[in-house]
Amino acid sequence: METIITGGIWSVITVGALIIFAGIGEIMAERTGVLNIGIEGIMAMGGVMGVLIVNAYVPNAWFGLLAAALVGMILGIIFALATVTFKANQLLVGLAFAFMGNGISGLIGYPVTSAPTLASFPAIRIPLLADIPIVGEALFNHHLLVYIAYFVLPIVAYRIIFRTRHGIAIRAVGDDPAAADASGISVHNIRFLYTTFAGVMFAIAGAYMTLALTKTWAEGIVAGQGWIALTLVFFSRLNPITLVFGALLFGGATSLSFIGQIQEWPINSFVLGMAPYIVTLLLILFTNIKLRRVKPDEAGTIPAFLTLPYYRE
Amino acid sequence: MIETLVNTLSPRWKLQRRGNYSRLRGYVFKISAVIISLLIARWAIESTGESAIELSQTVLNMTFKTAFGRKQFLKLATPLIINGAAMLLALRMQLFNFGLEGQLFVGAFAATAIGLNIDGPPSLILILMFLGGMAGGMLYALIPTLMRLKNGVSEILTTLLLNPLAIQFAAFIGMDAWRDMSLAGATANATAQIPYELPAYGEINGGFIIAVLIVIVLWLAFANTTWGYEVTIVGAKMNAARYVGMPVVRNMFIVMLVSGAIAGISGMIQLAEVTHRYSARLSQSYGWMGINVAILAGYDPLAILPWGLFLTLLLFAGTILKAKGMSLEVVIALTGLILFLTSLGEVLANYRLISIAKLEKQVRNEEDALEEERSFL
Repeated sequence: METIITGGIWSVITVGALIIFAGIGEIMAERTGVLNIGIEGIMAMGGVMGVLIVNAYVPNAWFGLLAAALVGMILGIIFALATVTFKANQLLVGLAFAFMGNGISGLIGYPVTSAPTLASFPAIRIPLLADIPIVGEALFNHHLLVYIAYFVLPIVAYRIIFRTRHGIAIRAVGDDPAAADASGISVHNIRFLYTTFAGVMFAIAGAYMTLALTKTWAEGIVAGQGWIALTLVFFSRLNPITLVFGALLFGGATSLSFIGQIQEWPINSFVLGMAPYIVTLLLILFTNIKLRRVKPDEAGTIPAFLTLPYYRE
Repeated sequence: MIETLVNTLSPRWKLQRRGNYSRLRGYVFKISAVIISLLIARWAIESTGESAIELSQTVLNMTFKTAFGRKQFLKLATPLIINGAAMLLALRMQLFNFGLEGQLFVGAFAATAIGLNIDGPPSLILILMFLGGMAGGMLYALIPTLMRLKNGVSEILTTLLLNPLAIQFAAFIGMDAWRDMSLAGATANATAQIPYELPAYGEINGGFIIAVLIVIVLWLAFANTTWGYEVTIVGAKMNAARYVGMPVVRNMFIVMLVSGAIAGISGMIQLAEVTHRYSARLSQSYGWMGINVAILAGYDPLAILPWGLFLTLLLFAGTILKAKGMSLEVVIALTGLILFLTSLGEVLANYRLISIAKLEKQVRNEEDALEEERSFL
């Protein structure tokens, strides 16, 4: 029983890291007013890139991650050029990226399909904390990337967005680009920067998936994780800390459904499979009913100019 | 940005941005985007050693020269066109109904329930199944609509969440609750066969006729009815519509529900025409392809038909390629490329290149005209 709980918590955390990588990237982009629906496509490209580099060239997972990050940066730049510089419709371009990314990654991933990844990230076990019974092993015996995802990324992102002048600029660009432009902030450059950053993060998430989680590549292996990340980003109201909780909640519900199937609980396995979505939906309902009575604070609202391109008239 | 770049770099040309463009111009740019995408795809295919011309010949022959090919083509075009119509309706109101896939499954489920459990003359049952499909899709679209209108929750979020939920439910029905135990292998995990089938007229399946009818009705509604006009205005300038007194909330409600109902119809047609059993395999991302069609068609309902048929041809090509050993991914990537270049084309259509000499001439003409007016006074 203990090992099942430990294993369950462990898998929730590792899968959650995937959502957090992609989600933090999307949060930064959406805070500046750019909505990138193509998370899936860029994740797939990053994932295939990671496996290709590791299996065909250098059997070092960090190299694979770097290659994926580079690909993500290029894709992010293309997306930014299209949506921020040329001001094309963000939803269209995002959807296009989702399709193109899936298609192209499937094509170039042919040579490494279903082959096991040759290198992965070493698990780092924090000695004292990991010895706590039941939860210790689950929480403190992970890859470095997971620690970064939970302890570094959300906190850094939160501090940047809400506690720095630059963060104010970011939020200004998203909430009122005209005012931001008038005060001298370069709307274009900030949007470009964070859209590219989002691309890098998506690709890193994809590489993390293929190099650390599934340890293989197959066409369609992203399997909707990009959409789930997008959903949780909306759900978190663009607050990095809330995103972590959302990822844990969703991952927890999914994990519970798997445990339930294995343990043969009396609840139908399909009903358990539907549980994560229902739980998330109910939570959205309740948090939004509550927020109606609370004055929207700095971390509560979605940027008013999300998806709208800015023209300096 | 590009304006400043071009204008500073070239002494003789200037890029001017206009707020809107004629329909013809829009078509020209969209079709150019498609042609460029096809050229890129051809380059990609040729670089793997296959001959693109041969491939396209094979695809066209298999699709249009055989009766089977033609029938399958129209059967595949049906859900794309219907879902395209559903999405276009929602898009006109700036409502992003990404939940077409889920609404399809729920509508089909309602139709399954009716088809398996109610007995009677086929035409009556089919009508009941049709209504059931509409009701199922409509009810499933009710959830995100209520959450949007009462609590301000973005329908993007809720519809995306409801999709996998519906697919899980379909898997539940097919693999568990209503499973037909006599099936095995590739066709396993589905319900019993529904004994009612939509009639076909020669090579054209009934569903296709319904699809075309839906598009025509939509076009007529937008062009000729007050409601269609209201929907367009509310979608384009919500505050202006509110100011004039148009019922914004009621229209959003109606549009979302009708969009869901149409998606449900496509589910019922898939059930009654193609698969005849309910399972999680009912839809091969037809909802997403419908969204593609709607985006490519822009705001024009009649354009759903040509774009729907075109995307169907692409998908068909994909399945044929798959049978020949090449991968389906080329087609998916191609669809994405078309979307991408179309979106760029949309932006470019706003600009026109005009030579400085011509501009100066225009200004001089205007000044001369003003001079003449003044000299009369």
